[in-house]
Amino acid sequence: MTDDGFRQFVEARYGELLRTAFLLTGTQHAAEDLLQTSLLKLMSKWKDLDEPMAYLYRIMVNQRTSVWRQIGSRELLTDVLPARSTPDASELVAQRDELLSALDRLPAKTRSVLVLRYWLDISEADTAEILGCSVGSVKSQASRGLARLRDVLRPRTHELTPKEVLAS
Amino acid sequence: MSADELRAGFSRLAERVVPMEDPHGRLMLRRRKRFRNRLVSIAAVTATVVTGGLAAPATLLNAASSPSPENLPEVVEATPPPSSSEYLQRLVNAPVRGNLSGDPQMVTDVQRAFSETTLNQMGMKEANLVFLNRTKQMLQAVVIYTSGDEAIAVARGAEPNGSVKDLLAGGLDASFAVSPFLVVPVASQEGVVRSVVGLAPPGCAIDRSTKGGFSRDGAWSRTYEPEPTVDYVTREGHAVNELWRVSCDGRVREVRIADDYLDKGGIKENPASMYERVVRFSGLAPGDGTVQWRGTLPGFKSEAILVAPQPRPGPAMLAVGPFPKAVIATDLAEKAAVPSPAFTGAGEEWSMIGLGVAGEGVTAVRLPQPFGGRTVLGDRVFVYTETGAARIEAIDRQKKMIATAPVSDNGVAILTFRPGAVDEIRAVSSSGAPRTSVRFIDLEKGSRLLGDQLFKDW
Repeated sequence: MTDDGFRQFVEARYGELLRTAFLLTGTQHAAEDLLQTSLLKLMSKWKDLDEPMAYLYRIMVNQRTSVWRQIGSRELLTDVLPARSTPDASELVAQRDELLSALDRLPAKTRSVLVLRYWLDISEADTAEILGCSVGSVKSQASRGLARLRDVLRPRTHELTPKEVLAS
Repeated sequence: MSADELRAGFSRLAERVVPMEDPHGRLMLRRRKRFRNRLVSIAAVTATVVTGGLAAPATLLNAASSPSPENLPEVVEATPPPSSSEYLQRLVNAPVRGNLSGDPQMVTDVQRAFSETTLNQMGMKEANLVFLNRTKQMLQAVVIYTSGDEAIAVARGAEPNGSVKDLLAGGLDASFAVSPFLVVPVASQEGVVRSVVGLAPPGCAIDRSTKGGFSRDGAWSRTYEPEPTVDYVTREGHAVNELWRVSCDGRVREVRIADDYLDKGGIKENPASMYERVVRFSGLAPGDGTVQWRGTLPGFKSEAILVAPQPRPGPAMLAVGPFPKAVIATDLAEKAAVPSPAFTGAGEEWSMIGLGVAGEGVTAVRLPQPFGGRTVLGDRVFVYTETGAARIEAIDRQKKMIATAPVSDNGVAILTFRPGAVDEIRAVSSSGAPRTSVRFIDLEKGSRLLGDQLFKDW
């Protein structure tokens, strides 16, 4: 497909979409992967769409909450390799923003609700439509998500015991 | 945290993100690369069973890529078994299967629609509808496109009562490399409903298994049942947890996990829940997993968590890393090809999981390790014992001890021995008296998940 409209859409919106994908995933590598995969899906429907952004958000959050992988099918075009190609947790975690770590602990759908509502400022009704759920569910997920972040990010006065870690 | 604080936090995080140049060009490159990677030559391996001085069947030599007669190998069998390429040809040329295959009008409409509308888009010459099925939740279609000796599969899904047009437009833009046992996820619009379809070459038979486990002495067994639809299988769900075995012409040709999707969930937050998912992923009913041990192992910076079940023996899970997504190690480091559904996650945000056996008083797991951007099984074996034993010994099939290590204060010993070398792990007292032992099912070659060898032999 060589649709100029699509090309312009990608070139104009890629930066903001990548930031949204980053908030949904937590790493730039995963964000690029999510966004490129979603854009390719959008491209196949491009001519039929009146509201490509809403459709793209739907693809992104569905892809994020319901990811599956095929053998050898995950590829990402990038000039530089990811900073680390193997898990190396402690250093990475130490560098990671507390908020990002807290977001990682949320269920994917709750995280999507927070990103749609408080990063993209999409209304509750439109968020519900994108996620394919009720407005009530959006409200409760947003409320629970904020409460969970509040709880996780509150200052600790002592080291957590394993039992507390499991319960948190 | 308030909504405004979260907005400010999001802005702070998003500042870090710097898009690469020429995003559209990169996107197109990715599209071309993905398509090329999935094109499969359906005549590539014909020479391996062709006899030297004899004329080969026409179907084996009609492709441009076939070798010239003087380069053909020596006679290997008077009646060569079907080759991988023959099975591929059988699959590619198969008549339509699925519960709508008996609806000639629907089949014709779908076949025509895919042929007319998508061939140019795919850059291929022919489209063969090989699967058309309706379930309570969705309409499914699988089409194999061919051009010369190349093939690629496309899976489409739509609402159960969707039209042919819906099917054409429906589902994800999902193309897949064709293999003799073609397993593809089929999704409805935007992936809301998901299923997995497996298509074996006509004449082959698929068995499924969700039952298996360790016997009291640690031996492994699994029970298979024939799939009623014989040479194809379809399952709905976001995680289809079964083993599938395909037999053709009297021989088992492939054993694989039905689905390579593992429900996400944190390891640290809930190790027991992750254990349950991992065991289910292995096509088994999990027992109650509880955390047996947690700590830092030599060579790893992240905390490791050992989860084992009651009753025993049963599958043990050792997870290293704090990340919500996990990679299960099933292959050896030196193994280049990936015939199993081993995860090939991109590194930094994946925890690593090794699976082993938990026996009475002693648990043994071959440790996962990073290797070339993948997670594989290394040379080291983690052993945990609750018996107060002083040492752990690794015993081979000739009952000879080939490795030993002291047990630390926290009950852990790390042994090093090559994969497949050991038959039994034994915990012994300081005087050498056996305290307890467990059979150790190990990987000598290929891919293994718990006690099951995963392989393709087409």
